[in-house]
Amino acid sequence: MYKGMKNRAWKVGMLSLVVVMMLSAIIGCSSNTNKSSEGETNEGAKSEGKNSGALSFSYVRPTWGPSTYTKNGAYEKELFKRANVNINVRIIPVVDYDATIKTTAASGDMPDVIWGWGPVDAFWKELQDEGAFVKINDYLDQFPAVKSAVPDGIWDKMADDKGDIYFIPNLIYPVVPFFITYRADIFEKLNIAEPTTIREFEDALQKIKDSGLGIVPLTHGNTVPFWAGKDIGTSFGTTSGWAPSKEDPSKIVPPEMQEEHLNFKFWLQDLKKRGLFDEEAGVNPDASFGETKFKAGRAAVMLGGGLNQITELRKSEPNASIKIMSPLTGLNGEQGGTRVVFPQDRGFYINAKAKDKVEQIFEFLNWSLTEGTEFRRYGIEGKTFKIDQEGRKVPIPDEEREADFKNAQIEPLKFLDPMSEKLDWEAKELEFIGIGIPDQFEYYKSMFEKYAATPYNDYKDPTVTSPTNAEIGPQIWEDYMAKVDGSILTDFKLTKEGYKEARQKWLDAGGQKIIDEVNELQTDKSEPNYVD
Amino acid sequence: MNADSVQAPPGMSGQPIGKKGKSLRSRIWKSRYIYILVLPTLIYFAIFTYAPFYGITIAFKDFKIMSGILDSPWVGFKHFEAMFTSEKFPDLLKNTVIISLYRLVFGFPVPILFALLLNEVRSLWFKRSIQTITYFPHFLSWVVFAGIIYNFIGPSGIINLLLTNAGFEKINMTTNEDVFRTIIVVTAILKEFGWGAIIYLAALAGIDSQLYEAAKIDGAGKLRQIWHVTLPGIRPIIALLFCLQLAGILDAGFDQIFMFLNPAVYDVGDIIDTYVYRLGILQSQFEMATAVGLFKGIIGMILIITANTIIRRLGEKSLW
Repeated sequence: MYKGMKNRAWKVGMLSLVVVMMLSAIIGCSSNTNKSSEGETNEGAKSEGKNSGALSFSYVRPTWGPSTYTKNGAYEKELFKRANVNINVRIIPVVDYDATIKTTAASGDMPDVIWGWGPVDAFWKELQDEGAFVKINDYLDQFPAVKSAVPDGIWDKMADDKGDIYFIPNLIYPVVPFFITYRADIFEKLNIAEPTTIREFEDALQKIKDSGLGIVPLTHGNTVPFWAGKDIGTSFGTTSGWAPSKEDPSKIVPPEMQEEHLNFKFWLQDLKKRGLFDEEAGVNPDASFGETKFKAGRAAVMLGGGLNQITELRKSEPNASIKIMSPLTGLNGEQGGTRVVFPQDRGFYINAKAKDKVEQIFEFLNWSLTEGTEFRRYGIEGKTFKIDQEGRKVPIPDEEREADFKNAQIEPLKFLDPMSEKLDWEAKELEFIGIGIPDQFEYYKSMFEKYAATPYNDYKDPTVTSPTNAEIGPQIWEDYMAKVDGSILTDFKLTKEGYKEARQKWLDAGGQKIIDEVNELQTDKSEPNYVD
Repeated sequence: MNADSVQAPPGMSGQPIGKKGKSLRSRIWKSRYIYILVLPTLIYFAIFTYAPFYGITIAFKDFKIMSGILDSPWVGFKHFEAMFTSEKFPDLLKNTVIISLYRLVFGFPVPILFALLLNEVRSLWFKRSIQTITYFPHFLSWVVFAGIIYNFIGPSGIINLLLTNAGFEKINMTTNEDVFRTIIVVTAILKEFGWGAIIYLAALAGIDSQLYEAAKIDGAGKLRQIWHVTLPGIRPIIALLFCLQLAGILDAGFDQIFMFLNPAVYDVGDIIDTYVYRLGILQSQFEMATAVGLFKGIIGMILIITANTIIRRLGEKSLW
């Protein structure tokens, strides 16, 4: 009897264990997030007990700010209530975005609204051509606020050869000066006049190094070093993009083929060799290290900086002052300016599987550009902005906001801002008032205009794609150029001759064919004008 | 106690389980609860390990995302050719194998030595403290651990700070080809040796204490005991783990190398996985990434079979 009981207990025990394991496996394998299905997002809405009947859709986008977004914040709830939507947002830090989203897209498990590079990128263009996204021409006609948010010239660039548009671009103002900012108080202390030429700039850095202050003479802002220095690069005559060939001006060539571009890059290498440029440039995996140093008072000059760093800087150096150098004159008399960019930085598609929601998504976008404009631009009074004595909406600095209203909570819910808001001096002035440096606004504006006065354009039409580049471009770049182009700042043994040897191999392996195809496909090789 | 007094459990004595002639069906029915218990594991492996094998066909196709794997056109060995004819492939293979061999030669014995040392520690609190401290880095991701290491070896790191304050020149440790592989091996050992010792400690705990007593009676000192009792006691585990590690020789540690890699050290540090990441994932050439994955899998399989055969012939306990 005892044996029978023992057997039964053993069986029951085993059975229970099996049931528990099976249940765990089923629960563990069932998905609960990031499905683009309507059911899933509706379920989310129901479970929250809010916005019943609201448009539900899933959305994935990159974020440039801190990745600290949490769902169900007060700002989000307010947006959902006002716009009658329920958005299931997934954010990916911008540095990881391309790798992550391409893999997600390749798995076929895309959200309803997805950020990408659009038709200027071969991967997204191929997906677009394969029918992964909804064609939006009719909706643009139906919702004029959305259509007019983007200049016609940009819509034309987004259209394919049949005139079909699938992509809503995220707009940026083409003039984005990456200023050369410097510590005016240090320059004054060391009796250094503001440099006007590259030669004077080098001398100034040398004096800072020799001063014994123990600070880094020159560092760079929050991006890769050469891009942070795109505007000082113009003093060498480089556009950091495609430009007419010196040998045959009827052809355009990529930056690695231009002597001016190499002069600029190897000049920065030389500065680093001489201890004038930050030793961590191109080494530190954290791209924001230079900005951190500058804000902490440990660097004197920064490429790609701004005046807004002063508030942080004054916490450690109360008497610090920051100024912007005027564009420098180059070694051969080149007039520096700013490298202008194509006025689009990514954008978003609507998944073809979400075609039933397209009209509602456009209604939402339309709302955000019409009656929802105030909320989209300024947010909530007392939380994201305050009204000053003159009745203006002054943004509250991020560090003074409640957690639910910080930019990290707002950025993930951003969609489309019209071009008309991209260079709004009134809004810019309010930003300066908000961070407590209203007296710096006019100075900032004048320096912006100085840089913008000499634009350097990338001559390549971003929508032109070489078939050879699409097929073998990445591989031959990796095989021949990645090492030399990526190590100019870190491999002091690398010379311009060594670079050119590698470049020749790249040209022979298919690089020349890519250049020829671009020239063949791009009939208009005149300098573009994205500003007017 | 003699040998007859301890009966081997069914299946371990070399005798068939159950009565001769009993059908497979009835034997399965008899052990049905055991089979049910195993079922979730079988389902798990079927779904997550074997079903994805279907995706390997991408290596032979021009993968179109919207068409799916099945309807994408076949292209034969095009992606394998592209990989093998790549200018960089010989260097990538060389770097991968060299770094793996360095890990094997310098990294493999460290957990064993550490386990042997720890096994001799008699103070329990000291032993536990050391174990906790050495296990801890294993639980940090390479992103975090590499960040910590960078604070030591970076141009403005602690080591260079000490050197400059002591009047010496700074040492370039982050973009220096001469020290890259050393840093990789040393940091890998630092991070994993504590965790790697666990299995050896478990094996050491299983050694019969009577053997040590017998060795002592025979006049063996500590080192003799380690040589003649401890090491032979854990030899099967050492052989097993060596066999497994050999199979992964083309996995030189993507996470770690990715964090330390810089174009300046590509010639000595760029491995197959980092190249495939840049080309296959960042540039969305999934077909090539799959082709390389398949190539690595085949080499790994050949190596594990070879190593297993050698170990079996040497009379050690093998994987199968």
